[in-house]
Parts: sequence; C-alpha cells; structure tokens
Amino acid sequence: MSYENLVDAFEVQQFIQRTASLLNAEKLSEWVQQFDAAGTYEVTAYSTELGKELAWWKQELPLLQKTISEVPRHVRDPARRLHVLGPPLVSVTGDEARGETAFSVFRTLPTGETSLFAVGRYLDELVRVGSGWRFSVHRVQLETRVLDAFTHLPL
Amino acid sequence: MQNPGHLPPALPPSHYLDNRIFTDPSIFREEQERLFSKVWQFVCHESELPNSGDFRTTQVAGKPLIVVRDESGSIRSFFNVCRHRAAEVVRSESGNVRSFTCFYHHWNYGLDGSLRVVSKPEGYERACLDKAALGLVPVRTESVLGLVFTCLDPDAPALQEYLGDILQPLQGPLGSVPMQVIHFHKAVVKANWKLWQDNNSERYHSMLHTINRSTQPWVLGKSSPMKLRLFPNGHSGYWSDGEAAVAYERGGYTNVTGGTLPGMRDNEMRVVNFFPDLMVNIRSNVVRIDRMSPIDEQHTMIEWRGLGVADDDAETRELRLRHHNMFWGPAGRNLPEDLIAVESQYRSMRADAVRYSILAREEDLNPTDDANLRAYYQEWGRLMGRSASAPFARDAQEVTS
Repeated sequence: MSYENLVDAFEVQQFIQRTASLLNAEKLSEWVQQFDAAGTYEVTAYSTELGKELAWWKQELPLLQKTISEVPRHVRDPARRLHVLGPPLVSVTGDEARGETAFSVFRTLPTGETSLFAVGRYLDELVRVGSGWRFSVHRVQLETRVLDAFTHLPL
Repeated sequence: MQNPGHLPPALPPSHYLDNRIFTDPSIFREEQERLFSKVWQFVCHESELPNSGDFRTTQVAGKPLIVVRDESGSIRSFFNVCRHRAAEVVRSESGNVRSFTCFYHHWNYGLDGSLRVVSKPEGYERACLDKAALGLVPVRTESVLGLVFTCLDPDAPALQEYLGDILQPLQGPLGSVPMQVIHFHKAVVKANWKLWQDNNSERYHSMLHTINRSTQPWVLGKSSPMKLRLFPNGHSGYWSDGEAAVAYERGGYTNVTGGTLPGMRDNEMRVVNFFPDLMVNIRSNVVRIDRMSPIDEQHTMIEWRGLGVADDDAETRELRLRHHNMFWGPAGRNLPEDLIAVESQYRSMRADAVRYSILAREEDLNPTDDANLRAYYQEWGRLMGRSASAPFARDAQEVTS
C-alpha cells in the first residue's frame, strides 16, 4: 500500500469515526453535511419473518436534510446515545472508498440507566470531494431488529 | 382521607375508564381467557405463505401456533406443540417444509397436521398407540381479503359474520389485486396492549404529530369530511366519503404518493380498527397492519406490516416503501411519537396516582369524537363481565350498558 493510499485510508477511517461522534453530540446539521450532494442514507435490517433485507429508512440528501431539520419539532426519545465503533475496514480506489465498520449504540435515559440499543455495521461508500470525503451511501445494516425505542435520530 | 386522584370524574360511567383495566394482572389473565381465546385473531397475510409448505409461527392468547399452507393450497393452523412430550415442533419464525419433524424425538407430522411417523414405533405396540388420534391439534383458521385469522373458540361465529361491514372500506385496497407484505418490524412496547389500540382509534392525538398538524388540518377542525364509523362487535373506522386528502405539500413533502391502491382516492387516508387488537391504516398507496401479542399486562409485542401490490415494478415499490417508512417505519416521523405517548401513559397508570381517564368528547362523529372508544370499551366490558369504568364492582348492576 502506498503512502498516499495509507493517508486516504486513515482519512476515511477518521471521517467514519467523526460521523458517529457528530451523532453522539447530536450535531445533526453537521452530520448531514457528511453526505455528497447525491448521497443516500439507509437503515436496513434482515427480516427472518419475510426472509429478506428490508429498508427501514432510505432517503436521498434533500429529503434527509428536511427530515433532520424537523427533529427538534418532534416529541422524541429523551435518551442520550453513544456510538461505539470498531476499527473501520477501509479500501480506497482513486477517488472512491468503501468502509465496513461494526458499531454498537448505547442508550442512556435521563435517569442515568444505560442499555444496549442496537448493534450492526456501517457499510459505506464514499467519494472524494475537494480535499475531503463524503458519503455517497451511508448504510446502517442492523443486527438488532427489536428496538427498545423507535428513533427520530439517525443511527 | 381518600386520594383525590382516585375520585371518579363527574361524568357518565361510559365517559371514563378506570386505569386499572390496563395495569391489573388479574384483568390481563381474564382477557386471555375471555377475549383472546374467544374472538378471531389476525395472524398473518396470505402473501407470507405463497407456496405449499410455507409456514409462520406466532402466538394467540399466549398459545404457540404454526400457520401453514398445505398441499391443497389451504391455510391451516395448529398448536406448535408435539403430541409426544410437548416440545415445539417448529422453532423458527418462518420457512418451508415438506413435513414437520419434532427435533426432540423425531415424531413427524404432515402439512395437514396428521401424525405420519413415530420413531422406533415398536416401543408403542403394547400400549396400542393410536397415531390417527395424535395429530397436531388444529385451530380454526379462515381468511378474508388476504388476512389470515385464527380463533381458539370452536363455538365462535364465522369470521365474516364476526367482522361484518367493517370490511367494506378494505374491499378495494386489499381485495382487488394481489397484495404482498413489503415491510415488517416488531417491538416490545412497555405498555398494556389496549393503549396501542386506543392510540390508533382516537384521532384527537393528531395534536401529537408534527407532520399531521401540518398535513391534516381537517382532523382538528370543528367539522370534517372525515367521519368516525361505528360497527357491531366493537369495530370502528374513520374515513371520508368526500374529498378529504392528506395535504403533503403543506408540509413541504413531495414524491411520496402515486400508485394509488384500488378503491382509494389520491392522498386519501383510512383507519380501520378491529376489536380487540388489530389495526389497518391506509395512506393512498400503502397499507399498515398492526398486530399485537400481549405478553403480560405491562408488555406488548407488536408486529407492524406494510403492504403493497404484489407485482409492483421496482420504482413503485420504492415509492410505497418511502411513503410507509416516512410515517410508520421504526425510524418514521409518527410511530416513535405514538410509542413515547403510550409508554408515558403506562408509567403514570402503574403509579395509580390518578385513577381515571376521560373519553368524553361528543362531536357527532367528527374525527376527534370519542364515540368509537366508548363503543370499544363497552364491548370490552360486555365480554369481560366488568365495567371499564368500575372493573372491580362485580355487581352486574354497575356494568356500564
């Protein structure tokens, strides 16, 4: 692997980690900026009942921006969330990259009790935009299929 | 001195509820016997069993069931219990089999439930084991509009007699073209099962939903083309014969509709609530079905299905799913708010600080009228032999009529 390739891979890893960090801080307007103009956000889960992968949330950037901007207007789960990511497995080819990252999300109630909310993988496709990276696809593939609370927030 | 929160409101008994009908474990146990073991219960959609040997497992009144399509194409149900030593015959939620073999001692059953093979049969010769009498225990199963129901009570009326005219608003969207389950998710809600039915039945709670406030202004108006509809056996619905349509554009939403289902108008919405625990909501191009499996008085497993047209092209399927998920997916705009509401109610009800809830809106069947809730709890009271407003007053005179 070339030095440039290593730098790219490191930058993509940092980008994925930072994306989760923005969710931890609920900096949602900054989180949306992680997407390319043609980017898509998707949450999927495999249904053993139907025997196929189902999309629970799939939006392209314009509608995603609107959805995210409305989060403060919703009556929402008051819990705080902490995303804990494993090391992203990254491959870079020119101006495109892919990442696979195991993650877990812990949910802490206002009373201070913490529980595991969801586990899964980020299956990301990224494009180089200027000097940085953006998601063309930020896909959340959930292992957890029974959520303890539903969510207005991205995962 | 009595807790003032335990004083009933100065209203007719039909216009309030004693919250202990949601929290008392003895009432929940009675519901399993007097409601869920007596009435027809939705278990799945026919599209979940397209081929011979396809099965689903589920529970009704706490009892485990297998629902299967047999070789003749009929859908049957059985208790998911081996007649030998009571192990679960099927341990997965869905699949396809030629026959059912119990994993424990390998007794084998046909898709019609008959006991076909007993392993090491010579051991039963002296006892004269009668295989013909030891098939899986069948459960009454009937379908209408693709909806598969079971009933544990052999004496209950036939399904269509039980449902009656509440099926009418569903004939077009569910009965005109083959439909298919395109979305499924489930959750254990920390609330009594009736609160979820209650939430979907009363439209006053449109106040709760950010999007509904902007796209369904007629819900909160003094008059509306949308009307509540009351039917026998506690069923109710809510829809318009006129032109009421969800105004997505007022909320700034585009590209959510299209592919309108048969019998529906563009952007039309219908809500149908089957007694006691099944809900069918339709938004012009997609159907949502809520099925509940109460676990105990304070936990309810809810399954949410989304339905679209079976032979949709990819673009139309995507459109339906986007519309469905925007409101009704686990990351949708409305469903999380509904869950937060009923779980909040339940935490308060368990504390028993304030004992009564009010169902007193009378608006000539305008959408926010509570008439359907009153009819629902009247039917609940009839079947339970208890009044929903005074559930522990066993004197029949006090049962609300």
